[in-house]
Amino acid sequence: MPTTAAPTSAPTPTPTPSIAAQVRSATKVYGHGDTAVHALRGVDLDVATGRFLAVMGPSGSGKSTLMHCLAGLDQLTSGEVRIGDVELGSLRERDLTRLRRDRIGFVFQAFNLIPTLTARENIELPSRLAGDRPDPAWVDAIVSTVGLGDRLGHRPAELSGGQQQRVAVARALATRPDLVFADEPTGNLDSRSGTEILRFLRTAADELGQTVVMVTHDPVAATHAHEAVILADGRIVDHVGSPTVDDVLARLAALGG
Amino acid sequence: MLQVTLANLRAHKRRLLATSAAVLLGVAFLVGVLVQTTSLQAGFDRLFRAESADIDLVVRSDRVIEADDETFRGRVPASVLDAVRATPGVAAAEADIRGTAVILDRDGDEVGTPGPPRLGLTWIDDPDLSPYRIESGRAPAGPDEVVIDVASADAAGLAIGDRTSVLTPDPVAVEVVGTATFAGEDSQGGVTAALFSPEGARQHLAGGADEVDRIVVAAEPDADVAALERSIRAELPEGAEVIDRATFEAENQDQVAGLLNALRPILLSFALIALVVAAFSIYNAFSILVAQRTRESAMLRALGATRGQTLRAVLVEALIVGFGSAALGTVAGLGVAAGLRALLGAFDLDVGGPLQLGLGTIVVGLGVGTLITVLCALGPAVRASRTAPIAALRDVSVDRTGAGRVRSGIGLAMAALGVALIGWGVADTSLARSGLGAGLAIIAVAVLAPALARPVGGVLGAPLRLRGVTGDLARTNAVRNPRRTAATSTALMIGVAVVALFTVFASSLQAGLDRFADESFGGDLVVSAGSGFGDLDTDVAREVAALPEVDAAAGLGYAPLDIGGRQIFVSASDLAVAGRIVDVGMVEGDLADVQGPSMAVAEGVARDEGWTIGSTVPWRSVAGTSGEVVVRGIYDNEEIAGDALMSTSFLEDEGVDVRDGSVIVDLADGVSLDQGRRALETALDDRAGVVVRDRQEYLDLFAAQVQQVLVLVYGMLALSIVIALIGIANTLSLSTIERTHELGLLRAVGQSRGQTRAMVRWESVLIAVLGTVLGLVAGLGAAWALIASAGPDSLLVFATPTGALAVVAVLGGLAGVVASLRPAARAARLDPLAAIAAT
Ligand SMILES: Nc1ncnc2c1ncn2[C@@H]1O[C@H](COP(=O)(O)OP(=O)(O)OP(=O)(O)O)[C@@H](O)[C@H]1O
Ligand SMILES: [Mg+2]
Repeated sequence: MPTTAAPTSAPTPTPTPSIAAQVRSATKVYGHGDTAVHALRGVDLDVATGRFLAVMGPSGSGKSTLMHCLAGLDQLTSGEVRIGDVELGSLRERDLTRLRRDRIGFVFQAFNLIPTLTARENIELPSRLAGDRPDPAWVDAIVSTVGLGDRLGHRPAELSGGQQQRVAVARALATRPDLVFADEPTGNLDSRSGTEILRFLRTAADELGQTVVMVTHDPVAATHAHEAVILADGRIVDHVGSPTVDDVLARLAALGG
Repeated sequence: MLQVTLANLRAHKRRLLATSAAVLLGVAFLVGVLVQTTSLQAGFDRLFRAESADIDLVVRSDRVIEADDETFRGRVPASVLDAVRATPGVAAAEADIRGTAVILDRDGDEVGTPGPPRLGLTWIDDPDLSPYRIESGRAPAGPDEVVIDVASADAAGLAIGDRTSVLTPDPVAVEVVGTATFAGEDSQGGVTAALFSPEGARQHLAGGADEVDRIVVAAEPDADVAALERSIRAELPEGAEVIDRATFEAENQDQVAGLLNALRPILLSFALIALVVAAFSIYNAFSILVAQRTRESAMLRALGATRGQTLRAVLVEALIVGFGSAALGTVAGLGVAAGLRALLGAFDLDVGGPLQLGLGTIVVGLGVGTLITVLCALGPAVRASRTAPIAALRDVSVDRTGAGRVRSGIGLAMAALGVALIGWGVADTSLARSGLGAGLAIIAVAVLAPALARPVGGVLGAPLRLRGVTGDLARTNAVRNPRRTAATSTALMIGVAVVALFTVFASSLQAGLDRFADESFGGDLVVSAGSGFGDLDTDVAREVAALPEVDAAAGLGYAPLDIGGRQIFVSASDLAVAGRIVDVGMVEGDLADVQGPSMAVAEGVARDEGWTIGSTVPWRSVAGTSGEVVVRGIYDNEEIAGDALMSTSFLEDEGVDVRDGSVIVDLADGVSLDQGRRALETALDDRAGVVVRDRQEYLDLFAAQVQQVLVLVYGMLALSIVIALIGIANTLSLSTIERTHELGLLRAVGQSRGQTRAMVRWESVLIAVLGTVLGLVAGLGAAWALIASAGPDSLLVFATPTGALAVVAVLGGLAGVVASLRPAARAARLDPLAAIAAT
């Protein structure tokens, strides 16, 4: 794999430099009274810088909720979330937007790209929203790593699902964010394309020092991560280092039992 | 299927709201116009029926001249009144002397406008014979006392006992001794009336002659009116006639029928424009709604719905929306009618009375609104029915329709034909041909709009690059559905094109007037009535000419005359000097020779009648005088001199009443404009209501008139523009809904609310500017075509009012901003999470 000796970008010094994101006593309640749904019931989590973390758990266990709150897309009911040294609860909408734009990258399961923009324009979108020109050498490095070289001038409609997700990953990395969040990034892909994306995310962590948090159902996907946390009913119930498929399946099965 | 339709209606209430707004406003305008014209008609009918009071018969002169649709009638000897009164069966008879009389207010300004007549009448006490009744004060007794209508008294701020002047056109100093109502109203639909005593009327309105305009007769209650008519006819001298009440009423109503017949099509064509604009908005809204429901339609088809059912589902939806909005629009039409009444009232085109919402109007409003909606939904409905069931399974891309080659081909062919027709029309000055060509070209622009949207939008959107990625997104969003963008901007284009057309017409008329003045108008100063449109006594010209500061002064007068069977307004002046001030473009003969029983005629008239220098032509006047004149000159400037020119003093010697519209004054050498003006003002001091203006001031009077009409036109077009803007807002709202995912994603990856708003706003501005620019081009082109083919002799000189058009362009852009306010706010409010989650 061609690599650029790109250092981990750390624009602001953090108090605990090895922690990219921190969640403390996080709870999230949707609705009130009888209809209230407790999506998160006191989650504590540290995401170490440069690590690829998988978040797993049964459907409805609160994975997406946790990720959205981590990414500043949603607000906790109580508890706190820090990205670097910034506590998200204290931020106003405008600052949250800026934080997302400058320090966080996103890969969603689908609908990741703006249909009217070409692949390159999509990749450059967050920088350009900030009024910056992205560093061309960096973008080229990412693009060639993801293997999109000749498709950059095409619009999303002209790309395969796997290619679209690669563009999305490239976009997420283009601003050298502190954190990349991916919610089921391979959910819509066949296993080969999915594997490529996952390998790439792992490479980003190993070689570029990129911190990645990925939500997934798929035990195979989780094996690409450095570690996995397992969520059940709004709580972290397990922690697996260097997960294997059997490992993960066993622990998930244990929940059912 | 009906269930699905109803569920759709409920689910998309908001989306349909804007569609109904377009239908509603279009119908409201149509109904407003119909209500207003019907009410106007009813009002006029009422007022003119009232004018007949309880009159059974009218005696009057049978000498008539009809020039330019105006009827001039002679007078009968006052002695006829005695003969009529003496006829058995006559209960009462009174003489009515009538003339023009402009009332001046306390500041010496004219009351009323040149619109409705400003009359001097004879006060008739007998309520059977006159619709006027004393409201306050008393009837006029002395010759210098008047009663005026309540509306004029209010407008002029005149109270009983006040003194003022009435211009007949000689200023008559009068005392207001009373106010009167007309058939219970403050005035006869804006007619100002100064009612004199019989002696006052004789002195001031009949010029001291013992003659009267009409004798109004009431028969004995049990008399046989037809028999009475015969016996009165037997008593009448040569030149007098008697008519019955029915004829009298019919003639009175004919007078306004012309006005209404002219007004109705004008108002209706503005309503038509509003409806066309609305149609574009409706069509667009349904196209988008149907496109957004492709997946649903496909699923229904997959579940077994037939094409017909899918088609009907959309059409029934259109029917319900159309009918509902049309019903609301019909009600709102009453509001529009009230607005139109206020607008027309500013031009004295209002006669009061209740608004008339007839059954016919309701049917037309409901029918047109429903029909337009269904017709506009037909295309989209057919498209929906063609959805393949498989589309339900695919991730269908929404409304990706492009421009279409066939459509572009047709558009280009129409454009070529339009341009060719314009060229032909300009070449042989055929207004009809270039009008048709211009219409075709405008439609061609509408047909080509989708093809034009991308390139033109790209060019117009180029400045948006400066706004960074937000601008880029706005630009690409604006042109991503060329057909949608085109239909949206076409609605605005039509409104703007008509605005541009009228604006250019106004400025061209202005330029034409200026050229006309430069070429044919040599004077330094112009004396005229205050408003510029009243009459002057011919003595004014004589007085002014006698001043030492004045080199030459010529009254430009007119008199209705029958010349060789042609009933025309003859222009009258002091032709010995007029030629020095005014250039009538003599082709043959010398204007100074046109003295005594002689005349000069326009080239066209001479050709038509076969008259040449030396021809002898008979003439007669309503005064009963007649004779022969010799043709001594032929000219070609008909704009200033009309059909024929005769000497004022000759006509007056023959008993013809000549009125001067203005007096053109050339100052003597060495007299400055200010000196001249002061001298004239001093000399005319005793003539109330007469104003001295320099050339430019005088021309500005006409400019103001043109501007006023332009304001009326703008007012009429305002609603069309509003409908177009609602269309833009609607399209944006629907696009926003459609792009929910995208907007959510943009927000998730860091687009700020402000940037989202700006993105929608710039898209809107681009669509609006596209429509405005296409409209300006189309309007300018059409105006040029029409003016060019009106020929070099017309009063129009093509002139582009750059300033005004720039204002239109800027307003177009601002309109885009306004239209985007709500959709942009909604887009910015979108919760990125919900937007991403929504599938
Ligand atoms: N906007 C919302 N309003 C109400 N309840 C919600 C909302 N979003 C999520 N929930 C509830 O919160 C709980 C956690 O949802 P979340 O989407 O985080 O689960 P998840 O682990 O991502 O599930 P999946 O694997 O199916 O995506 C669920 O019970 C869900 O129904
Ligand atoms: Mg989820």
